[in-house]
Order: sequence, then structure tokens, then C-alpha cells
Amino acid sequence: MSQETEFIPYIVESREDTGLYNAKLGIWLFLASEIMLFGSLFSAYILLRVGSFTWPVQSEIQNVAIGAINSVVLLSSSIFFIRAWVALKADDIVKYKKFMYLVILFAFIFLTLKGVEYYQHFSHGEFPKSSVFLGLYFLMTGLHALHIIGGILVNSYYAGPGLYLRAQNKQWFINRVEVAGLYWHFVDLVWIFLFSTLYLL
Amino acid sequence: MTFERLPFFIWAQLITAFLLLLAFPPLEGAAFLQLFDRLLGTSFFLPSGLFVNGHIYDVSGGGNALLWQHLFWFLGHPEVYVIILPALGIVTEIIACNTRKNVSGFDMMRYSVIFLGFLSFVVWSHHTYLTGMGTNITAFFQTTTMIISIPSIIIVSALFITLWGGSIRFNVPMLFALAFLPMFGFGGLTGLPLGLAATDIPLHDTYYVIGHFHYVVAPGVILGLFAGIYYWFPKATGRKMNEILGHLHFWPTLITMNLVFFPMLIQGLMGLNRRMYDGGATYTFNQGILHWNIVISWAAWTMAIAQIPFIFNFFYSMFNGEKVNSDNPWESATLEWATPTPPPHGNFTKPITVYREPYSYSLEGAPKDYSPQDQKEI
Amino acid sequence: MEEHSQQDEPKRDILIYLSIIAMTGLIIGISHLQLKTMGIFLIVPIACTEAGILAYYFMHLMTKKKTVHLILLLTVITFITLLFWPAWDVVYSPRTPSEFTVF
Repeated sequence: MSQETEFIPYIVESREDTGLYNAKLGIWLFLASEIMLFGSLFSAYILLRVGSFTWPVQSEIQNVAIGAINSVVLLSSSIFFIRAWVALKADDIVKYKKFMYLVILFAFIFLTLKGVEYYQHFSHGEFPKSSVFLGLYFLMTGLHALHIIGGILVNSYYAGPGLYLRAQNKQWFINRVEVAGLYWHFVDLVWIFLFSTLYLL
Repeated sequence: MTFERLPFFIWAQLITAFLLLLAFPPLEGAAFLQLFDRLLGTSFFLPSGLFVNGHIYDVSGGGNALLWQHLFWFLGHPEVYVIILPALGIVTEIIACNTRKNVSGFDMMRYSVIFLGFLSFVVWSHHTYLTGMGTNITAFFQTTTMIISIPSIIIVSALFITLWGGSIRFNVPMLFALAFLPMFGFGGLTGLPLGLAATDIPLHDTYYVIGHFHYVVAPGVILGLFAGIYYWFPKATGRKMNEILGHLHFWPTLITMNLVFFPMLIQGLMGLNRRMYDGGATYTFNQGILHWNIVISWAAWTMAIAQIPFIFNFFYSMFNGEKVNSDNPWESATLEWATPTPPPHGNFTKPITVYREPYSYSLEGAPKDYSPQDQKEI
Repeated sequence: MEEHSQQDEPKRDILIYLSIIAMTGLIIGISHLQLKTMGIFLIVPIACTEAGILAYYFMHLMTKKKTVHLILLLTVITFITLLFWPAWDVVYSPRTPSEFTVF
């Protein structure tokens, strides 16, 4: 596996002109497409809300408290991820694993709280088809939750079974984790916008 | 290898890749909205107060069908550039190789294609002129649509100018590439009245639109693709396709293509609408132009028959075609010919260093009229 | 790889963490005031700042190269134009209320 880094340049070292290594460029391109995806949904929200006569008062339907707690949870998981990456760079595998487990745990807490929120909505008879706002809410947070699940899978892999890759090429593994971290920060970023738009506006 | 030493085909593919990356997600978003509408009974695209089958339609309302149109066309317009750019790239490769000279204005072509890629994201609403948009927004999109015609014109003109003073070899790929130029140019020109909102009013949703986009796609993209197949067939299989069958394919295809789509332009200008189940037969103002449908049908079936030599040629030449006598039968300077023909696993048998620009034909002081990019001496 | 990385400044982590949480609290407070349109103009920039701090935080892990910054700036400008020009057109074109659901 490590031989690839001999033939294919810029897997572990960065290019001089851009300061990026391949995977980082790759993940940023992917994030660009994700920005377009969530951007299209946000622009749908804007256009539907601007073009409507009435719009429910969002903070009355939504559970702003749970949303706020979720914000803190996800932000904390982002910070833990950074600490994990720093520990990995410092060769402290025990600390790396500990922080990664925290990231995954907090991601599960986020999903659980989201589940509680959905349940609260459903038990009040608030379904996606009840109004355009609720439809958008369920769609956008649902898509975001799918991204969280994807992130959990990737992070779990790198915190557990994927560690064999570190034995093959240390710097490459560090880069992989950094790139996964970029994805995770992006998921957090989207949540900041989701929370502001769907709960507070 | 530097960016300046990449052939135009690769540049076109790069821009295409960016367009695909950034333009598809809004359609994905629209697909999610549509999925929710279908499965969960939301009404993102359905306004309030709908009356269906004599009953108030039981949805929350508050949606907007125009939202779908905007999200769809946000992809839709970059999509057409995705369709045309690879074909433009292929045609450039073939023209450069078969005129034995460098493509004129190669720098301009590169900048144009980048500019085109960027602009293609801000023109989408010329597909929604007739949806009751405000005049400000219409003016914006009309302006950008007119501006986006400029890069395409630059690229096609540069290819035309390349022909001047060239030593043109009229092999089958070159025939297709040459046919591409006027056909695509013509298709692009017919797009101009559609791009201007005022003239789009009588022309939108008529057969003129069909004529326009088929002129750019059929004589445009498809001729480009055929050109590519004939050109790279020797690379992939080590055998050339039969020239006579190639001519038998090319000439009827070109003529019948024009016969199929040109009458549509006429019909559209006379007001024949798209998407009518009877083809417009119930309207008196269409009666004088419906006879063109017979011409179109005959031409279409003839065009289908004209593809038979190609299909036969393709499979026959794979096994019984004339074997090429060198790795580089077209004497091209670009890198794909630096591999053995047909290429082994991994394509290149040794590492490559790229020494010069891609279309290094007829260089001064060179022993041959082409200088491969990976060869150190001229 | 980078000299100026997180392991040198765990304190900066905490500072950024707390500032984002503080801003989140701020916009929750603003939303409680139910300011309607004014609320939007307050909440959205603050949310963008939060996002910007977070992005810069991990963008700092990316690169300091000017080209990349320029491309990002161009993207942001395009995005804002494409989002808000149609919205402006919808809101400020002369329309009777019954036409308002059409844009």
C-alpha cells in the first residue's frame, strides 16, 4: 500500500503551489458539491418563505432548547475531533482513540436528541405534510442527519478497524483523519445554518 | 507537464468536471423535495387552493411549481455545457492533428472555456423567461446569456481559423470534425433569438426550440463523438476502421441530420407548438407546415439506416480491420499516442516527461511534421 | 506539516468554542425578541460570522495561499448574488398582493 506514495505524488506531502495534498483538495471539492446541495435547499427555503402569505412562527413550533443543546453537542464533537487529530500527530494513540470515541458518542447524542425532537413533532401531529415549513424542516434536518450517520461510519472506521492503515503509512493516516475532520467540521457548519434558519428566524 | 501543456480536450474535461460537481447537487436537492412531495405528501411544488378531480387537493399548499423550474434549470443549463465541452475537445484534437498545425488562439480557447464554465452557472433562467419573472431578473439573465455566446464563438472561430494555411487531411474523423464546426455554429446562432427574452416570446415551446437544441446536440455533439470514435479506434484496438464504410456513414448522416432538424426551425417560426398530442393538427395556422413532418420522418429513417454501416464497421474492424503499422497511425503529437497501440494494462510502459506544447506540428527545424510531446528532441 | 497548528494553542480551541457558543446564545436571544424582518438582518450575519469563524478555523488547517482565498471569495460573492438578487426582484417589483405567490 505504501508503494503508492512513491509513485503518486502529494499523497502525504503538500504541493508547493497550493499548500494542499491530494486528499485535502479532493475533500474540499466534495464539500463544494455539498455546499451546492444544502445551498439549493436553503434557497428553496428562502424563495418559498418570501413568496408565501403566511409563515408559522418557527420558534413556537420548534423546540429551541433541544436545538441549542444540539448545537453545543455538535460543536463539542468538532473540538474533540481536532484534539484527536492533534493527539494523532503527536503519536498518542490512546488519546486519539479516546477523543474519537467522544466524537462518535456526541454524534450519537445529537442523533438521539434529534429523534426526541422528531418524536415530539409527530406526537403533536406535526408531520412533513402539515405545512411547507415543517416539510422543509424535516427534509433539511433529515438530510443533515444522514450526513451525520455517514460521518459516524467514517469516524468509527478510523477509530477502530481502520487503524491498521496507520501501521502501513503514518503520515497518510494522519492526512486521512484530517480530511475526515474537514468533513465533520462541515457537517457542524451546516448545522449552525440549519439551526439559525429553521429555529430562530 | 504543466497546465499549458495539457491538450484542449483535457481542459474541456476539467471544466466539465467542475460543472458536473457544482451543478448536479441542486437537482439532487430538487429531487429530495420531489421525493418528499410524492412519498410524504408535502407540497413544496404545489400551491395552495388546488382543485383536483372536483375536490380540494389535500395538501398543505404553500409551494411553488416555479421553484422546481429554477432548481431544475440551475442544473439544466450547466448540463448542456457538460454535453458540448467534451465534443469540442475531441474536435479540437482531431482538427489540430489533421491540419498539421497548432490550434490558432489556443490561449484564447483556454480562457474562453474557463469563462464559459463560470458563466454557465448564471444563465439558467433563460429557460424560464415565460414564467412571469420580473423584468429586472429577465434583463439580468438575458445579458448573461448574450455574454455566454462569446466564449463559444471564440472557440469555434479559433478552430475555423486553424484550418487556414493548414495541410488538411480529409480522413473520416476529420470529416466529422469539420462538419461539427458549421453545424454547431449554426445551432448556436439559432439559440440567439431564444436567448433574447422578447424574441423568445413567440418562439418558446415551439419546434424552433427543438430545432435549436438538436442542431447543437445532434450535428454538434454526436458528430463530435463519431469523430472521436473513428479517431481513437486505432488506439484502442490496433486496427483502423474502414474508410469507405466511414464515408457511407458520414455523408448520409450529415445530409439527413440537416433534413430532420432544419424543417423544425421553419415549423417553429410558423408557430407549431411542442408537446401537443396530435402534433398541432387541430390548429389552422399549422396546416401549411405540417407537411414538413413527412420530410422529417423520411430523413429520420434514412438517418437510422445510415448508421448501419457504422455499426457494422465498428464490430467488423475490431476483428478484421486493417492493422496499424505504428503506435501513432495519425501521426499525432499528443500523449495518448505515446503508449503502445493497443495499450497494455497501465497504459504507459515507462514514465513520461512532457517537453512541449500539445499541438507541436510543423515546428521549424523539426525532421518530421509532428513532434511528440514526450520526445526531447524536436 | 504546519508550524502554526492546533497543538500549540489548545487555549485558542477553547476560546473559539466559547465564542461560537456565545454567539449562538446571542442569536437565540435575538430570536426571542420576535423582530420579524429586522431579526433576519441581525441573526443571519451573526450566524454567518459563527460559520466563518468555524470555517476559518479549519480553513487555517487548509492553506494560506492567496489563490485559494480569492476563489473562495469569488464563490461567496456569486452565491450571495444568486441568492439575493432573485429575492430582491421578488420583493421590490411592483405586484399586487394576489400575484405575490408567483415569482
